[in-house]
Amino acid sequence: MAIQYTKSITSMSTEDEGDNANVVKSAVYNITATEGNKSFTSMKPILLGDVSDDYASYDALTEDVVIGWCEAVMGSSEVTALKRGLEAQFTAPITSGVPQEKQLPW
Amino acid sequence: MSTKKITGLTELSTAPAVGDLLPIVDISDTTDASSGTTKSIKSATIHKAAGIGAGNTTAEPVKIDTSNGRLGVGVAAPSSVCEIAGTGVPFEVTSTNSNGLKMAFTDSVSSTRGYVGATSTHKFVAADQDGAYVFTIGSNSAINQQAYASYNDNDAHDICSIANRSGIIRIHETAGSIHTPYWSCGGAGVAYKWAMLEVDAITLRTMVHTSTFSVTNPGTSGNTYEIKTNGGDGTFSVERTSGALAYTVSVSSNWY
Repeated sequence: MAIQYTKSITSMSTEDEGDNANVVKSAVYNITATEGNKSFTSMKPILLGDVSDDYASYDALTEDVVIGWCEAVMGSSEVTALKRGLEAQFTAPITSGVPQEKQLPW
Repeated sequence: MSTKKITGLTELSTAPAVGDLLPIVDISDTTDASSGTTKSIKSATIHKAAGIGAGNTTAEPVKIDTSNGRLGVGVAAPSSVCEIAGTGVPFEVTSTNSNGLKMAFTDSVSSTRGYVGATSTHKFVAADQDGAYVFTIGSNSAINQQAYASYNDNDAHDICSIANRSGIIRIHETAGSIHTPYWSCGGAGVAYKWAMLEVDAITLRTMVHTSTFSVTNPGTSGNTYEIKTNGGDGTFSVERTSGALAYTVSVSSNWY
């Protein structure tokens, strides 16, 4: 079964800049790799820099647009590195290193 | 028997008494006709069909106590305005809203609202009245987890900005975890400054623009990493410089 990747934005931070309100200055980018019933996620806050020519009002933004901004800042090589890092967890999971407390069975 | 239409009867405009009666056709009882038998039913009994009644039975899981204005689910005598009782996890809130916030708490002033919730990457979040996260629990119980990423190469990776923040960088691999505490010393742009603890040498480092140090996991086949801080945007990077173990980087921030 091939690994499936999904991307999402889980939060954004904004500032007003001149005439532009709620300019998105950073966004938390998530990429999740799923194979069967296992999944692993990497999460990175991305600084988006100054307003560009494609400024859009906050309410008009879509998740895909912001994902595109984040990946443009990171670069394709970093997105690939994140995927390779997640893939490695399927073959050799990096456990937490300490026993995990579990819900009691009774 | 009255021959008036229902629309011609005097309206009972207050809540019916528990013993007030309504006509009902019991379709399970075909004594009078194949279509059912007309009977009377107490107004309080009608609600049992919707599960409102005793409050502590499977058939009647909801209790509305009109004597004190309390609502109970799974409890016969709710002790507060809303009490939910049961086995396992008796109460769950689900929302598909992408911001992760599921419940609001407020006093009498609605603007002083606070939120709690959970996301795919944070097992718990608390947010202020604007929805901004003020406290989170992330992967592996990380407090205020700012970033969490998996890698398996020898490239340098910018993890996130830690400008004006303090906390712990956790680099984890199967050989164990390296925890690097860091403290902001303020600054701006290329003058951002931090103190970081190089834990394998127990050396406190001054970190400014392009400062670096290496740290090695002493575990079996443990990796060596270079940690580098960058002025400008206050980011730091991690690079595996020796070893071949896949690793994760977790950043917990906003520890004042």
